[in-house]
Amino acid sequence: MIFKNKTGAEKIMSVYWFVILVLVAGTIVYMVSVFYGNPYDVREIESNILANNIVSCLSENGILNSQINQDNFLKKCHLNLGNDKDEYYVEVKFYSFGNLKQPLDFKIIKGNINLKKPLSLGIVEGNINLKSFFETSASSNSIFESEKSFYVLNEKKEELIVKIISIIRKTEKNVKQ
Amino acid sequence: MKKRAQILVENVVFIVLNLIFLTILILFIYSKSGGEAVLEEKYSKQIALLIDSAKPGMVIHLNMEDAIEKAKEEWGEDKVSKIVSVKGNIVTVKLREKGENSYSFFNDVDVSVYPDKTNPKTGNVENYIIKINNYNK
Repeated sequence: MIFKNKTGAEKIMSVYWFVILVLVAGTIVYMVSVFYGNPYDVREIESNILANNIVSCLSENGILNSQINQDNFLKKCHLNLGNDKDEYYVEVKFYSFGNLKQPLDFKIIKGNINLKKPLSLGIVEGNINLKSFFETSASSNSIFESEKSFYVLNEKKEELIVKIISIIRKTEKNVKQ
Repeated sequence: MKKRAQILVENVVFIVLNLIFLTILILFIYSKSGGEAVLEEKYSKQIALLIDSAKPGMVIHLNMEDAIEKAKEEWGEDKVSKIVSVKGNIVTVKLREKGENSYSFFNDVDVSVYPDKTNPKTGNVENYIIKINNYNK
């Protein structure tokens, strides 16, 4: 007989049981603390809304709004980046439908250009790439980028593809420091 | 007879202790998920995103029953109308004496935010109304 005294065995079992309970509870407490300790990251939704707002501003019934340009973009699209203008980057590029590799000369850029990834900035931006590289590569979730394309006709009924890149930083409010 | 009674008591104590343990665990999770700081963050971001995707003329009714109850407990009954405020392009939600949470929106609109006092059944404030007036000029 291994267990001569049954009550003694049961007591040992209950001690183990409570050890297991403490382990389970500790794990749950840790997981809950980690989950609720992190802020909600809403940048994905926010950048999608931003891109959608830009789409509805640039295209009216499938026709490109030709009155919008680099200078009046924010006003015409009712965007107010306010004090957070360094937290956003918006880039709108236009492509001819037949040539999606080479964008047209006309483009709109607003916000903090340093938020853009270094590879796509290319030679045009010069030394600013280095700054951008270090800022974005330090932490993978320090910025959120989304890309959206849509088809539109210009005034001459030419087919265009519009590509919108919207980047949001807002790291302090969306990522645990 | 004595031994049987002892076994029963031990089992009951064991079960009661387990139940107490689980109850504490559930209360911890509940308190964490419904804490003021979590609610402030949740609603400030939610309202900012609602404003971002809204157009002038829209009236949004947002159910904030849990947050309003918390604010009544932590901050006072009379502070219900001050829970949500919008200044410039920043939404602030405050449910306690010390602390608040703010989040900015990019939609350039004029916004009015006020509590909805139209619940006929309870007479309590449960909703907040977010009214998008016009684009700023």
